[in-house]
Amino acid sequence: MKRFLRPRQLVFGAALLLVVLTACGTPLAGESWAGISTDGKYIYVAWKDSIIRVNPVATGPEVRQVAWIAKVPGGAHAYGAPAIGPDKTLYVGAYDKKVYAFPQNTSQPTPTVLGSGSANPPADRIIGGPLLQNNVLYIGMGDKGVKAYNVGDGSEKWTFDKTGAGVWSTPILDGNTLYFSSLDHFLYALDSSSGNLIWKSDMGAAIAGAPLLYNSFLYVGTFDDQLLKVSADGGKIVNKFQSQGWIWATPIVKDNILYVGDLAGYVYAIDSDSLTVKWKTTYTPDYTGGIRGNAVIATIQDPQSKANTDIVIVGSENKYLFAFNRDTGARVWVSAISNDDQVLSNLIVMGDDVIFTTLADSEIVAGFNVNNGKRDWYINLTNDQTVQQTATSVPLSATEQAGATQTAAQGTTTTAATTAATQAQ
Amino acid sequence: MDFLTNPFTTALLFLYQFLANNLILTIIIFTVLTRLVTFPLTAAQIKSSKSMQELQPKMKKLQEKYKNDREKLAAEQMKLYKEHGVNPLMGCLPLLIQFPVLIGLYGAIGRAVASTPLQLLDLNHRIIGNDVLHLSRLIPLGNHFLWLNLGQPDPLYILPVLVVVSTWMQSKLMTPTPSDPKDPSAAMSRNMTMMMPLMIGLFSLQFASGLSIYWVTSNVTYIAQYLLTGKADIRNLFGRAPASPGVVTPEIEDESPKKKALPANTRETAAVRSKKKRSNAQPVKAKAGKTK
Repeated sequence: MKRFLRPRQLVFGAALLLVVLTACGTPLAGESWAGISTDGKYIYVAWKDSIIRVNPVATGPEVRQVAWIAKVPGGAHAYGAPAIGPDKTLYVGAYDKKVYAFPQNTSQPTPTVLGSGSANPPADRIIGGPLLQNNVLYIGMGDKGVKAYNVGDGSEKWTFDKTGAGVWSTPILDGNTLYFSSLDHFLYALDSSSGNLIWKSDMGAAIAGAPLLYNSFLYVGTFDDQLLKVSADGGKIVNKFQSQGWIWATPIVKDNILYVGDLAGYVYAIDSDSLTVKWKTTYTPDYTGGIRGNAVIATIQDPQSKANTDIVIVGSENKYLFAFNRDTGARVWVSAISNDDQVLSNLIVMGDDVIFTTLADSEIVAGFNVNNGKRDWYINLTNDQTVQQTATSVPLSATEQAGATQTAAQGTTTTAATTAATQAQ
Repeated sequence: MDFLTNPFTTALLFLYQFLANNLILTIIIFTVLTRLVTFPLTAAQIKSSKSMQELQPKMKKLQEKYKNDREKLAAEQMKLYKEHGVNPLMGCLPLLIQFPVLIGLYGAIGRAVASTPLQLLDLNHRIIGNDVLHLSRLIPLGNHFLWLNLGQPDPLYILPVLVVVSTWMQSKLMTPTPSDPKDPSAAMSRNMTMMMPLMIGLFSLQFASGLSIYWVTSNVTYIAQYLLTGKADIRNLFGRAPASPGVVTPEIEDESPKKKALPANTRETAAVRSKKKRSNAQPVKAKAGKTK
């Protein structure tokens, strides 16, 4: 039998090719990390097809549970940090090109779709988290532009689609000006009421993180290893700081010092005026791994002097949490994440815990003690979902809904660090 | 496989900046260039396979003659290879050498079109020499073309169809039509020629469309290279094989001095003769003599 390749060889070759290419050549299976936000009382997480509420207050030793869970219709995935409405409705953008509103006053909510009657619906996945201010929801589109929705009636307020690439970060609002970054290398300022462009400025490389607005300047990291200081009124770059790696995180600020990590694994304390380095962490081969999420600042008591000390906490790709002395940059503690998973989300400080998400269902949310870096609690979503199948999740009470506005306001005005963490994806 | 994927990712980005930041063009050019660079290996593989193919009738005869003596069969086969200057390993060796290239290129395309946060984070670790080349300034790669987002599957299913068609064409060209359609191995071969493209097409429904573009380009380039070697027969595509591989042709040298070539009207396929032999267990020579 004349044959170029024998059937067995063909079968084996095809199978081997597919296995090898599937294993070695395909893009990463994962999509994103879980978005996390807080109203000062609860933790809200968007992870795959679930929007969950966690009460970080212990009901027993290490016992925290998913108090409420909602499913994105059609099993669509959502990862942007949920925005929390005055009535505690949660708003998220999803990978099915829709923006959902989930009421929390029912155990099994049916979400509504914002802008459902729009003639210009989102054309791509929504990756970034939304910003909700003055009953208007601002959210970046995965392919290009930003949309604004009136949350009162769910209608589309305006669309700005003049970016050259996706907007993956959460916009920020100052007065009547909406600032946001885009992967197209530009920083944008829009009139928040009309969506008209005020200015745009080329930052030289892609920007995936939200800018920080501080003292009339925007601070934004780029994929060209730079932290840029940009005037908020015209978009002019007034200063640059060269980092070791891409900067994806939004800087946080305290006492005029910026704190930010880069994807090469370094953490920097930088003077916000001159962009000179106050301290920079040293390279530690044992702990290589990028800093993707925003840092947070927490205050702990020195065990010897009993004096209060500020620490800067960051999570890393290499599955560790690090705490550094805010003044000196000296490492205070380092803590391995017990399930050996990456910390890519922004961090939130509530009480004595620094709270974050991982990429593992078995420890989707965790709280580590800021004083010693030890894990206080974690949420095993697999177990909790099993529980939720037999026990109905708990809707918010009318009292909680009524007090929501006040709680949310308190929760976002604790520190500048917390504010940054709660707002940005 | 980072040692393969990372250099290819870097090379892909490097090429991208010189091709008007057009990712589709970059993927096509990069795939063609890679195929051209590995063409000597491809040519060696095609040549070797063709030689092996031409020796098949003789191999069949040897297998029949020494079916009860495996050691002798092996020795005679090696002798035959040596006489015709054929190295049986040359059929798969070039393929094995190309395999890392294939993996690296395939992985690079998948990662370069990073369309989710985790993929973009991953891409950060794959660019070599970014301090000097500043390739990260090229991110994000322009991954939209017409209706396509190269980081996502083709919503119109046009590319998966092209993947299936081009893979089928390649398979058909490589697999000559068997002389005996009833031969079980021929049936299996036919099934594989159909199943393999469908399987890969099924995968392409899930893959980023950038990978489908790679696959189609790679197939088309391979077909072109195959045609250029002069070894391909386009009639294979239509199931019309020029020769009957199973037929014992008069030109084939017989090991046995007593055995002569059969007249054209009494020729038997190897499969038929083998069946006859199995049924009466008589020596080949005797059977041949009777026929004569």
